[in-house]
Amino acid sequence: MINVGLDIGSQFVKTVVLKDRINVATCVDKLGSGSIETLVFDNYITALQKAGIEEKNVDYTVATGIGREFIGFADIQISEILCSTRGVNWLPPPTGFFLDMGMEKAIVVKNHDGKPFQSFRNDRCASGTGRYLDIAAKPLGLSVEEMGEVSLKSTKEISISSNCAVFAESEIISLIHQKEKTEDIVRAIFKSMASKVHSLILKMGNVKNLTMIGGFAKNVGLVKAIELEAGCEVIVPSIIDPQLVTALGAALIGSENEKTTASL
Amino acid sequence: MEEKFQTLIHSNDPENRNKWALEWKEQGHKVIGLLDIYVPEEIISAAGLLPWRITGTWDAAVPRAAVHRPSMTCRYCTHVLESFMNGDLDFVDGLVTTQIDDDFKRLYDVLNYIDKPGFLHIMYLPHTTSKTTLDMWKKSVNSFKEAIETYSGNKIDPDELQRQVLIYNKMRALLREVYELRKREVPALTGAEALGLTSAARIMPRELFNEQLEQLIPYLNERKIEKSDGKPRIFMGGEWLDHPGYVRLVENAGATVVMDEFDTGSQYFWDIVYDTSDDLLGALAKRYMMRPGLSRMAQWEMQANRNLAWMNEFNADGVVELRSLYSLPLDYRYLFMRKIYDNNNIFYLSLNREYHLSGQGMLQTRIEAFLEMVERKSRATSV
Amino acid sequence: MKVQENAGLIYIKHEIATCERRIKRIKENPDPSKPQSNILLYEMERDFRIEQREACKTGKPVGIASMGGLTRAMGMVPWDAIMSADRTHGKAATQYFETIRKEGIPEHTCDRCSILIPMVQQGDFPKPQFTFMSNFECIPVLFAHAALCHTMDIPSFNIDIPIKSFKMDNDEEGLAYVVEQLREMVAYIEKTVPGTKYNEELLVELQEYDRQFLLEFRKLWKLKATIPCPLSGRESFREIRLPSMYPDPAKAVDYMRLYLKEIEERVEKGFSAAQPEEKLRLLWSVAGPFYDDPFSWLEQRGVSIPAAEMTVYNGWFSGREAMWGDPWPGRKLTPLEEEARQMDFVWGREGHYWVDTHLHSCRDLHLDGIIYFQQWGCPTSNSLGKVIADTAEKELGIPTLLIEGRMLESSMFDKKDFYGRLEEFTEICAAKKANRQTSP
Repeated sequence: MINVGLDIGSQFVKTVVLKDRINVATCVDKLGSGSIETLVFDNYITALQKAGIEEKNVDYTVATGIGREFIGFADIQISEILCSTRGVNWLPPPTGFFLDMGMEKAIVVKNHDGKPFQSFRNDRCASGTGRYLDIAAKPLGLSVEEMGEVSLKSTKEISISSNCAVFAESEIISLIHQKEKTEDIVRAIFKSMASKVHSLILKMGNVKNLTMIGGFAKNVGLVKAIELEAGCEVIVPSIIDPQLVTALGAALIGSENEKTTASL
Repeated sequence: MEEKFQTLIHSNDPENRNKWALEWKEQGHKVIGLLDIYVPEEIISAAGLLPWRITGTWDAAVPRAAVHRPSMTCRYCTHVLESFMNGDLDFVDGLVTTQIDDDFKRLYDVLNYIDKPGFLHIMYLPHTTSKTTLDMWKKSVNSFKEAIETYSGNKIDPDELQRQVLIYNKMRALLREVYELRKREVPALTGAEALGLTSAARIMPRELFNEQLEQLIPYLNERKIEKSDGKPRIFMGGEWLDHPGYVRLVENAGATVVMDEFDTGSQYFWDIVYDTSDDLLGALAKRYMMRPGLSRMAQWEMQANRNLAWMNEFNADGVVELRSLYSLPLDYRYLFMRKIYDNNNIFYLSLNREYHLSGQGMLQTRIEAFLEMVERKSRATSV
Repeated sequence: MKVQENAGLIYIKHEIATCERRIKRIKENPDPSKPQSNILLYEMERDFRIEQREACKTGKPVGIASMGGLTRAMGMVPWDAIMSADRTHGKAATQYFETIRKEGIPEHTCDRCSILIPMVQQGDFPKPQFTFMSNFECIPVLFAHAALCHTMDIPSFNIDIPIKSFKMDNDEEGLAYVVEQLREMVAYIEKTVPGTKYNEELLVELQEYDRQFLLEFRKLWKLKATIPCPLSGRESFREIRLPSMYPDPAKAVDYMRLYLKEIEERVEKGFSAAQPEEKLRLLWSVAGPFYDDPFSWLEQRGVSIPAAEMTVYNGWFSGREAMWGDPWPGRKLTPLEEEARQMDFVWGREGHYWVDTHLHSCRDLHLDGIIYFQQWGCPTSNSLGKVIADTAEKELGIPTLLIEGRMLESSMFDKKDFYGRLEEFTEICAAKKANRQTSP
C-alpha cells in the first residue's frame, strides 16, 4: 500500500511517501514563482523517485496545508490540524500536546488519541511566529538557520521591550549600535518569541511536555528559549524531520482511507 | 538631604517597591492593593491596613496575562494581571478598585475567577457628578467601609477615621507645597522626580511619608534643577503612567516638565477632604468624587478648565500627553481636549505609549520636533 | 474635518435606496431560501429612515434618549447611533477608517463606536438634537457619545448604571437610582430641546408593542433549539430593532408574527440551515466580520449557528432576563421604572452574568461549541473569553474558539487565516462531539 501526504505551506512544500505505513521517502522544496500545482507535482514526483515508486502505483494521496486547494491531483484535501495531530500521535514518545510553528503561525494543540481536542493560535500579530525571526535576522546579518547556534553562545540577558515585530526591528538596530553582542541580541529575540508561545501553552493549561513540529523546531536556540520560558520539556522528533510531521500525518490518514483499505 | 530625597523618590523602583508593604506584613498587618485614585484610602488605613498602589510589572513580556487579555486591551490592567499571576504580588492580601472602565471591571472579574488575591472588592463609581450620583457613590463608600470592616475584623472607629483624614490631608498639603515649587522659573524638582515622590506616597505608611517629606521641604525650598534655562515649560498629561522613564524622556528631549495631570501625580493628592464635622463618610465621598478627576469622568469641561488654569499657574508653554495604549476614556477625551487647546492657542501633542518603557526612540523624535515648535513660538512671542 | 450644522442625509438616502431595491427584488423575484417576511422588514427599515429624513427637513428633533420608547415619548424621532454605524461595513467603513486615522479619532475601540464619530462630524448622518450617554451597555458607547456631544455641542445627559444588575437581582435601590436619573434627563430634554414633552401614555403604548414583539421572540428561541436548526446564522446574528424604534410599531409586531410562522413551517418541513446535513451547532458570540459571510461558509460545511450572543438579546429571548411587563417582586413597575429596568444590559455589568448567559444558550440550544469573536476595542467582552472557554469546557465539555478580529474595518482581514481557524475549530468540535457521543 502506497500512501502519499503533501503539505503545502506558505514557503515550502513537503512530501512523505509511506509504503505499508513505513516512511520510505521524503522531499522538501521551497516554493518559488510559477504554478503552485506544478511545483508541488514536481516535489511529489521527486519523492516517489527517491522511493523507487511509479506514480501509477500510488494508492492514495492526501493534500493538506494552506495551499492544498490548488492540488487537483490529490485524492482528497484534509485540514492541517487533523493531519498534524495524526502525525504527532504516531511519533514516539507520546505527548498530549504539540506546538506547530511556521512562518505565519504558532499553534498549540491538544492531542487526544490522534484527534485535536483544543487549540490556541497566535493572534493576528507576527511576533510569535517565524515571520518575526525573518524580520529580526536581517539587521543582524544572519540567516534564520544560523541564529539558533549563535544564541547558545550568549552570556548576557538583555530584553526587547517592543511587542510588535516591526518596532522590534528598530530596537534591534539600536542594540547593535549600543554594541550589544550578536549572540545576546539573538537570545533576547528568542526570549521574546518564546514569551508569546508561553502564553499559548498557558492557555492550554497544565502542560509538562509537548512535541514541537514545523521547520522552526530545528532551531535549537528557539527550542531552548521556549523550554526556559514555558518551564516545560520541548520534544523535537528525531525519527523524522519535524517539518515533515504534517505531511506524514496526511499520508497516515490516507492509509486509513476506505478506498485504500478496500484495495488490500 | 539630596541623598534622602533621592532615596524617597526611588521608592517605587522595582527593587525597592515592596519594602514597606513587606515590613508592614512582618508586623502582622495586611496590605490592600489599589489601582486608582478613587478608593477612599483613609478607610483602609483606619481599619489598620496599608493601602498600597499597585504598579504592574515593567517587563515587556506578559504571557500569563495574555491568557486572559488580548493585546489590544488596557496595558496597565494587563501588566497588573501579569504581576498577580506570576506571583510578584502574592504578598498583597486584597485588592479594591472602582470600575474605572470596562477593562478594570474585567480585570476584577478575571481576578475573581482565578481567586487572587484573597480579598477582592469593586466599588461602583458613576461617570458624572450630580446630587443623584453622589448619593449613590456615598452608598458605594459605605458598602466599601463595611466590606473592609468585615475583612479586617475591625470596626472602624470614627475618631480613627477622622485622624486618618487629617494624616491624608497633611500629605496632600505637603505634596501641594512641593508642587508649588515647580511654578518657579527654575523648579525645585524635575517632572520625573515629582512622579517618584507621589509614587512613594502611595506605597508607604502615610505618616512615615509625611515625616520624611516634612524633613525635606526646607531643602527642596532651596533646591533648583539643572539646565532648565530657556527650555519650554511643559504640562504633561496621561493616565496609568507609572514609569518615570517616560517623564525623563520628555525632559531629555529638551523640556522642563513643570506640572502634570497624572492620576499617579497631581490627581492623587490635589483637593483635600473638607468639612468633616457632620458626616465624615459623606465628606470623604465628596472629596473623592466631586473633582474634575480622570477622563473616565465624562465631565470633560471640568478637566479642561482645570488644565487651562494649571497651564496658567505653572506658566506652561505646551502640553505633552502620553496616553496609555488602548485605554479608551483618554483616547476619546483627546478629541475634546484637542478642540479646547486649539481654541486657546495651546500647543498640544498627544501620543500613545506602552505601559512599560518602550519605543523611546520614536517618542523622543516626535517630542523633540514638538518642543522645537513650542520654542519657536515662545521666541516669537518674546521678541 | 468639516462639521455640518445641517443634515447631510447621505447615509439616510443610501439606506432608503437599499431598502427599496430589496423590496423591489422580493416583489419581482423572491428568493425561496430567504424569509418572505423580509419584505415587511425592509419596508419598516425604509420607513424608519424616511421618518428621520422628514424630521431633519421639518425640524422635528432627532435623538436618542435611552431606548426607542422613551425617545418617542419625549417627542423625538429615534436615532439608532451605533447601529447606524453597523450598516457601513465594507468599503464605506474602510473610507471612514481612513478619516479616523488621519484625524486621530480613536481607532482601537469598537469599530461601530469609532465610525459613529466621523459619520456625524462629516454630516453623512444628520447631527442629532439630543444624545444620551450611558454605560448601560459598555464604555466605548458611553465615550463615543461623550466625544460626539462634547466636540459637536450636542445636548446630552448621562444615565449611569451600577455594576451589579438590579434587573437580575430585583434590587429596588439600583432601580430607584436609574429612575431618578431618567426623571432628571426628561426634565433636561424638555428644557433644552425645543418641541419635546414627556408623554407617558405614549411610552406605555410603545412598551406594550415591545413586549408583544419579544413574546414572539421567545417562541422563536424554542424553534432555534430544534435539531436541525431552521435559522441561518445571518438571521441569528441580525441585531433586532424593537418596535418602539419604528414609526409603525404595530407593523413590527406583525412582522415578527409572520416571521415566526415561516420558521414554524421550516421546522415542520425539517428544513436545515446547515447543508447537506447539520453536523454541528455553534454559538457565535459578541460580533463578527460583517464584511464577509462566515455563517454561510459554516452552513455549507454542515455547521449551524442557532444563536448569536450579543448584549441583552438572548436574555430576553430565553426569558432569563425580564422584558417590559414581566413581574417585579411585590408590585407593578411604573413606565419609567420599566424603562430603567431595560437599561440594565447584563453584559455591561459584572462578568459572571455574561459567562452564565453563554452557558444557558449552549444548554438551551444543544450547542457543540462557541466561537468567541474578540473584537478589537471591546473591553466589555474581550477579557472574559478565556473564562467563558474554561467554564464551557468544564461544565459542558464543549470547546471555544477565541478569535480576534474587526467588525466593520476589513482592510486587515486575512480571509485565509480566518477561515483556516474556523476550519480547525470545526474539526475540534467534531472530534469532541464524537468523543462525547461514544463515551460512557
